[in-house]
Parts: sequence; C-alpha cells; structure tokens
Amino acid sequence: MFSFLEKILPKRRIKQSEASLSMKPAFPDEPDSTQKTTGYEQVLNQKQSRRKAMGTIFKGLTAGTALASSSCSPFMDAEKREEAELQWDEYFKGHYKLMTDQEKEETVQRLTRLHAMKTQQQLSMSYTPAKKGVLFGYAFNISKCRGYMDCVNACVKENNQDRKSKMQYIKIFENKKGSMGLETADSNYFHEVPAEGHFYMGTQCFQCENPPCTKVCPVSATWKEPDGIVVIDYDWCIGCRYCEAACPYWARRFNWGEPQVPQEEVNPNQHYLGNRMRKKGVMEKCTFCIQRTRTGKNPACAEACPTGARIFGNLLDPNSEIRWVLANKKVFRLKEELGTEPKFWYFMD
Amino acid sequence: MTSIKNINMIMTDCPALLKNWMGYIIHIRATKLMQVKFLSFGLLTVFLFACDTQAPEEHVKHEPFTLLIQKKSSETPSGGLTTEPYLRGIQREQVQGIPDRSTFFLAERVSKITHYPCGECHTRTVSELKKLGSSYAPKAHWDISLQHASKDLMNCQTCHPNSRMNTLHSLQGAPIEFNHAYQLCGQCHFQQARDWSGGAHGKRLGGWASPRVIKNCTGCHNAHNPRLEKRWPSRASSLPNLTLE
Repeated sequence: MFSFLEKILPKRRIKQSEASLSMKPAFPDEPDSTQKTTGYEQVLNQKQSRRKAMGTIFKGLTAGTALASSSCSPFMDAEKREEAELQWDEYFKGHYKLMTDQEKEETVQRLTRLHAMKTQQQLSMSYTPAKKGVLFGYAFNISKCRGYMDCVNACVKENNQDRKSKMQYIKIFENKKGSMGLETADSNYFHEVPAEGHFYMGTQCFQCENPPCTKVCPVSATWKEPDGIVVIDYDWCIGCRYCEAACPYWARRFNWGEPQVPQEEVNPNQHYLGNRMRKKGVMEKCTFCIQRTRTGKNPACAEACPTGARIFGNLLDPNSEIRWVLANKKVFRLKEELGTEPKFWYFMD
Repeated sequence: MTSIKNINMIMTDCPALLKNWMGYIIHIRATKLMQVKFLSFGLLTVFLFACDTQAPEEHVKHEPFTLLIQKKSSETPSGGLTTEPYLRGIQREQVQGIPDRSTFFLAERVSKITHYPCGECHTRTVSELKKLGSSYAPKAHWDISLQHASKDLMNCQTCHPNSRMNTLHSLQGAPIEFNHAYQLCGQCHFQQARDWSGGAHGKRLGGWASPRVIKNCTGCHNAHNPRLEKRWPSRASSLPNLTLE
C-alpha cells in the first residue's frame, strides 16, 4: 500500500543532490562554466537550492497527506496520483537556464505526460538548444507584401495561440503610399487587397539584439538566446507585464484567460521555449518559430507567405539570402534611434 | 609689488636682525602672492575651457549592428542543419547565380507539365496550324490569353518557338529549357532576376539552412498572366488598432 511512498521519497533525495551537484555548468550562455562563482550565479544557485528544498519539504507534506488519504482509500486512482505528483514536480522545478540537460528532459517528459493525460494527445516536445554560429535575422519586403494575412493564420496555427481572445503575434499595417509613419496606418483593414494606393507592412517581435523587454523582467523569465531569439520561460513568468510595457514595438501578448485551442488544432510539434501550451497570466510572443527554425525550417509566416515578401536566414552566413538583402538593398528598421538593434529589416524592390 | 618695494625701503633703516626677520615675512608674502596669481591663472584657464562649447568630448564610435554582422561570418553557416528532410519529393535543378553568385537549386518544372514533351501534339508549326483555319479546331490550352506586356511587345512567339516546341527560346532564338525559364524572364526582368538569384525576390523551399532550393519564376507567376490577383485577406485582424508611434 505504501509502495508509492518508497518510490517517491528516495528518488526525490537523489534528484536533489544530483541537481545541486550539477548546478554549475547549467548556463547555456556561458560555455566556460568552469569559472564557478560569479555573483549572479551564486545568487541564482542559492535561490534555486532554497526552492528545491522548499519543494522537498512540501513534497514530504504531500506524501504525508497522501499517506493519510491512501490509508483511508487504498484503491486511490493511480492516474490521479501520478498527475498530482507530476504537477508538484512541475511546480517546484528550477529556472530553465539553470536546468541541466537531464532536468530539461525530465520537465519535457512531465509536460508531455500531463498533456497526454489531459487530452490523450501525444506531443513531441523538444528543448533543442541554439546552434553554434547561427544568428537569426528577418527581412520584410514592403513592396511585395499585399496584405493577404496568410502569415497571420499560419502563425496562429503553428504557435497554438489562444483562439478565444483571437491572439495574434503578427500585425499587418496598411499604409498610404507616400506616408511612412505608422501613426496613420490601419491594421484593421478588411477589404480586397492590395487596395489602390496603399502598401503593407508587417510587424511582429523583432528579436532585438539589445532587447529592452528582458531588462525589465523582475524574475529573469525572459532572455535572449545565443541565436538571437528572445524567449520566455512560461513557467517562470509571473505575469507582471513589465516587458509588454517596455517593448517599443508592441510585440508581446498577455494571456488574460486560459488559452483555448481546439484539441484537433493543437500543433504537437512543440518547443519548451516556443509554442508549448501556455497558461493563464503569462506573457508570450513570437519566437521566430523556435521549434521550426532550430531544425533548419523556415518560420511558419515565411513559409505561408504567397508573395515571397518574407526572408529569413542566418545573419552569420555570408551566403545567406538575408545577408544578400542587407548588402544589396536599402534597408531600414523601425525606431532605429532607440538603439534596440532589431534583427528585422524592411526593404523595398 | 608696490607694497613690497615700500617695505624694502623701510627695511634699509632697520637693524640687521629685524631686516632678516622682516625679509622672512616678505618672502612668505611674496610666495603667497605668487600662489594667488597661479591659482587665479589656473581658475581662469579652467573657466575658459569650461565655457568652450567646442571642448573635445569623449566620443565612442558606435558601429551600426547591420555593418557589424556583415563583417562576421560563421564557420558553421547552417549550424550543422540541413533542409534535406523537408525537401523530399522536390526534384531540383542546379542554377548558376546571376550575375555572379554561387550555385543554388530550383524546383524542377518539366516533370510537372501535364503534356510533355509538347512536340508529341505539335507536329506542325503554329503558323501552319493557323492556315488550316476552322477545319482544325484547337484541342488543348486554347483558352490561354496573354496578359503580359503590350501586344506590340509580346506574342506567343516571343517565348515559344514556332517549331521545336519542347523548349522555349530567347529573344535571339537560342533554346531555353522549361526548367531554366528564369533565363527567358530575365531578359526583360533583369532586376527581378538579380534579386531572385540573390535572395530578395522569390520563394525558398524547405527552410533557411542549406541547400538553397527556390521556386522558379513560373512557380509563383503564370507566365501568360504574371500579375498576382487581388483578393480578400484570409482573415481580419483582431488586435486593437494601436499605432506604433
């Protein structure tokens, strides 16, 4: 009857000691993690261990409660118990940047299992790290875009965005020819496109090289990955929306309610930092389709565009299309004077 | 200085001891005066420099990010990734870049043409067929109407040769394969062809990593009516119409 307790407790203790041992080389940003005691790391380490310790204490308490309840009902639903256990583990897991590969694997397994228990759908979630020598960049041809909004549909579908609040990362502005400022542009157009005398300009997260949004996060739940993508750990976000306020491009979105995606429309190809299911009260944003681009694919918007206005590639590859555009076209970026260095260029033919 | 001179004059009447003692005091006073002078000179200099609006500033040269990355090149341009898994079922044809660029691939076209080779039906030249008049009714693709440039500039024979119809031909009559239609289009649309070859025009297949496989001109444009149609957007935006300024 108490076999589950024996199963849980030693496992936890081992896990904790393992975690505290393997804590140091957990920074994906810093390859030379042999230098161990930078101040930041120390603070985070301490935080982490305290959290872990709290987790263990609470787990002990739950185990006690479970023991009490199971003594009353010896045939407690095994699946429910497993779900509760997984949720506890999820609740007390560490910050993504401090996780070892094993811990990342474990949390991905837990999330996949929890989703399967809830919906009977098997996900293939990954935590593929950034590839070396890759820095993603985007170019948008404003003379090609015709305002069809196929990219928006593809994005919503690919990234499992909330259908209830009709969330969308991409915004297409309809501008009068002869005007460049977005203050006169209309993003709520709905008529045959392209309209006479108008041009179209898409915005989304520009994955700034100097992102203002990550600096204001009080819990370091958002950061820039080595391949230049600004990501969010949805399980670490506290939903304060500081980042939303800090972004000069209005690129971040907030989940006011539990995101709702019809089960048959859920994209099972997910990434921990990308399109995995979000929850109520957390921020989300475009990640250049991290689940696709880190495997060599193009983002969903670039793939869906019927006009070829969207160009995506590696900025560090001198033979890439994006580099050709930068070298041969007259490019500009939005609000360049802010020094955010967006990796999203506009150009025209 | 006048006061010092006066004191010196008084000194001549004084006893030697007193003179020495007074001399000491005068020496101190003189140095103090000098100090005041130096100090005021220094202050004046500082003041002058402070007032100077053209004072040299510490100016850190900030190199634009766009230029910075153009100098960089990665040793692993694709990060060890390949688009091969996403290119299954796409036959490709190698292309030499226009005007000077490394080779790339484009999606093969000939195998997608429904009735190829064309010569199987077109045993006679089009002008011969036309002579037959109404007795020889058009059987296939008779509904094609050319909506491409003006009639003075283009007709069917601009791209399709009168005989040997299995290929296209250039303005000078050199044969051009259907797979390499971009050579034909690029005769007039040279700017687009250059952009297409470089990567600013056209559509990439598979993904961003190598190999680079792109669509041919005819992959997006109907050569007989190349303009993309107007249509309704596939959805309406649901975001509030907040502007970015």
